[in-house]
Amino acid sequence: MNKFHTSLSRRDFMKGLGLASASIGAVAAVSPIFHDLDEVASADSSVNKRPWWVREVDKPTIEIDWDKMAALAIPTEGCHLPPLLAEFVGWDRVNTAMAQGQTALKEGAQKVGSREAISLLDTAIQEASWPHFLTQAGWREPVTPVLADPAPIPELVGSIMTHETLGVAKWEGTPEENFALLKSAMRFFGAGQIASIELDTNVKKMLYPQDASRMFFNGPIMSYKFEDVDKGYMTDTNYVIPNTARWIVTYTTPMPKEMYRTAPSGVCYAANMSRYRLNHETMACVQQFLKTLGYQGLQSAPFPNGICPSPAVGTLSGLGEMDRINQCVIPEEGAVVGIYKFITDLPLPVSKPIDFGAFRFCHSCRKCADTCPAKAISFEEEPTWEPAGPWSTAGKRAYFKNEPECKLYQHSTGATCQICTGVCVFNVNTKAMIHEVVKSTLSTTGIFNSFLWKADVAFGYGHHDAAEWWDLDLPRYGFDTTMGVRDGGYGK
Amino acid sequence: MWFTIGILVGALILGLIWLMKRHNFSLTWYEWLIGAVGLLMLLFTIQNYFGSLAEVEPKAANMFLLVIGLPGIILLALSWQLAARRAKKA
Repeated sequence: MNKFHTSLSRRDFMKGLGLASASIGAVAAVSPIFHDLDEVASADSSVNKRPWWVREVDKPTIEIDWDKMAALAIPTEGCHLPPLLAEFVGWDRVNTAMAQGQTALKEGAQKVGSREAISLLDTAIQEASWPHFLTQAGWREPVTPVLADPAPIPELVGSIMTHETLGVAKWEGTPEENFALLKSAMRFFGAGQIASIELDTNVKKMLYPQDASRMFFNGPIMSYKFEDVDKGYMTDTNYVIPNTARWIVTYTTPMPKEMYRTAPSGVCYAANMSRYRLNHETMACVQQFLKTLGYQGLQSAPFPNGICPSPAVGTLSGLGEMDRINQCVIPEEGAVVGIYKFITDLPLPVSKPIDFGAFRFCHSCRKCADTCPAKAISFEEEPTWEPAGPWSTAGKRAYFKNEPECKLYQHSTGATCQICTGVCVFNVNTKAMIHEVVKSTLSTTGIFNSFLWKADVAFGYGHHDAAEWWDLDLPRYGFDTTMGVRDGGYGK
Repeated sequence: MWFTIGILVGALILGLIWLMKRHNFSLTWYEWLIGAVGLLMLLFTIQNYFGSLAEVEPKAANMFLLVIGLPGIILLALSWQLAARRAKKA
């Protein structure tokens, strides 16, 4: 019987209880108590959670003798730069190795249409991946800085390889192939969802004749012009688009939902600004990628709107649907997302608009309007053809917003408002199964819409305190970067 | 977690069937139905409770316990009581 039953005396039980209480007391005594954020910030690494199988130890697992430790005169440790490498092996060997590399790249580029490890396509993504710190995203093609002194290997150092420098024709693929390659590259460069539409006569009706982005820096207003030229270019007063650039690529730049939920706050403002910073890098890489392949990516500026309203082309190209905030809400990313676009001469397919029940849902839901401190968002049940004012583009049946009141309130907060975007019901995360059920339901039928948005409020989704954000252990960049991941794996 | 829950639920259902066979007892179709709905609601609650906590939405997590978890337990209890009282009468 002893094999199956343990005998525990009352004395042992009370002793155990005493030990457990003492343990809890001891843990409580040594646990840190934080009174403010400064204390949290200065706390030890115990706040930096790692997997359970990672142990903190007193010494690194590599042995160190501090008596023998001495810094190198210059950072030759990785021999990263050719002159540093030449210090040890001589310029002859460096030049030979790099010339072999050049030959391999040129030979690889000759394999027309190849996706092999050394090919024009491969070189394009290679070249696009490092020049973001050398180039500026903008209307002009990426600019490579001129080196002050002659480089030891001028054709390698400070230069960017293109199909022309490799001596091959530009990349040619079907529109579908091109889109697939561009999507893979753009995801790598930081974009979220990607779509494309043709720059036809209807879409051209939405293009602003003038670009105001330079007004951010008290610069002049630039005009947009279309010309029969091979390459887009810029003058002091004009952005010139070649008539051959007939496609608009639209894409999202994710932003941290958890930060947006703290609106209005500086934390939310930081999240809002992060899209411009991230897009700056993404667009610089895209431009270089296209340039190496023999095409152009023209984006006037990373700042708001650019050549046309982003929600408009986002909706037309099927990134998302218009919503009550008069923005474009994305099925996978919600309302907390930056939408950007660029014009290109790379032939691309035309994406179709999408319907996941969002605009219909907005007919019932007024969560954003209810929470808007400026009362700038429409409470009407039905959208209207009548713009709220001369600041809005006519020709669409939408929920127009009182933009001046919205922006005035934003400025008055000292940070930004963005409450409407932060509390939008489509911002839910993906861990709880209920969100998939709700999204599937409202995409199929609208009869539960009114109930669902009230349930969203009752369940407490929406605003969080800004102070809470500092305690969260979030993914890099603060947002979920696993879009495209299916059940922990990768789709094709 | 779901692997463990799956094994537990499977073991419980097998245990129930084994007990029913041993005592020569069977459940009516509506007792099965009420019990199955209750179990599904309970599993749905568990997923959404822990999912909501992971999403830093504690209010939503507690609401799931109240709105779906509690009715789920009531349905399971109802199924059990219907079967138990019927067995007692017999």
